[in-house]
Amino acid sequence: MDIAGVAERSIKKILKTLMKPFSPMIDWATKYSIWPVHFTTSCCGCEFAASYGPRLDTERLGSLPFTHVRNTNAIIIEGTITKKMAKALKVVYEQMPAPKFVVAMGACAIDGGIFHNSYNIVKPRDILPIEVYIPGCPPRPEAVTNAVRTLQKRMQTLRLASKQALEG
Amino acid sequence: MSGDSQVKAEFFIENPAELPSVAQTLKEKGYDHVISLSAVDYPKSNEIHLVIHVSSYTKKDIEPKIFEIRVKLNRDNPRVPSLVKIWPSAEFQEREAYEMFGIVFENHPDLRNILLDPEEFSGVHPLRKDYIVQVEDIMLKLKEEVKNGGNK
Ligand code: SF4
Repeated sequence: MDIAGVAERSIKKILKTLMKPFSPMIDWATKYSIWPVHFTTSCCGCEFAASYGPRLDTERLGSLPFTHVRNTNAIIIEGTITKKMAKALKVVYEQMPAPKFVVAMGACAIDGGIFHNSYNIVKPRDILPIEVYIPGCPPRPEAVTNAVRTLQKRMQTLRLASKQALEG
Repeated sequence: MSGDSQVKAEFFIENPAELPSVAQTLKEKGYDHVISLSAVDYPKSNEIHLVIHVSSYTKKDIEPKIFEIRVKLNRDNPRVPSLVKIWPSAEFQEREAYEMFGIVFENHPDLRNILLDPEEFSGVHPLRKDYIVQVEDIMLKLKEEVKNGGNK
């Protein structure tokens, strides 16, 4: 039997048990540091940019769009995902450290939108677990801000972050 | 673009092997670039028409003109000599016609897929009329069902 593996697993188990009482804190902390990665695939990206601009300033909710995948914990899928892009999306998602969350923005990311009958479209819900949907084509910037709030509320009530961090 | 100054000429080629000589003649006349290179699929008559639009940047008198060349190809095995040597601007558009319609351009320097994923679309050409988009297929069936009074 692999002794190192057994030791590692038991240490992890002990750590998890020790961390259990702090799980509300993990949720609370993650709630105010949702950092979505820049993953602009379509026209919805403009509205995404506007929602982080000075007028709505979604950054005040503790959410900062960031460039490096390994330093982020959320993807806001901005619009259409083609078959080629779906592979990149999957790689980006795998690179992020847990806890991580996916928000699907726009009609395209929900059900294909105006490209629903295209030969080259992938519905993100088929490849990733999606937490929040933002309907619209494109959604208003306010809707993006609202989605971030919704994600925060879900994290608090459903304990999304601590579940992923301690169990996943 | 003012509509009146657009004079359009059309040239239909039955034998694809003649295309390079036609292109060479046009180039010598001053048509120096390909505006668009696309294709039309005719499954009933088993043909694919390659449609090439050329125009000029350098000669002022033919600049407002667009010249259209149509080449008739066999749908089962569409092959045509590449135009990259004559008009370098045809390169990417030939690659697109290759992936969308399966037209093989002989002597093309780099004939690969340009937009579509080569794994997902090997051997299938989405812009051919016999390509079935799954969602559309379901919608057609639903429409027919509604026409026939729904499924009882
Ligand atoms: S939902 Fe509309 S705005 Fe957003 S990517 Fe699709 S087409 Fe563009």
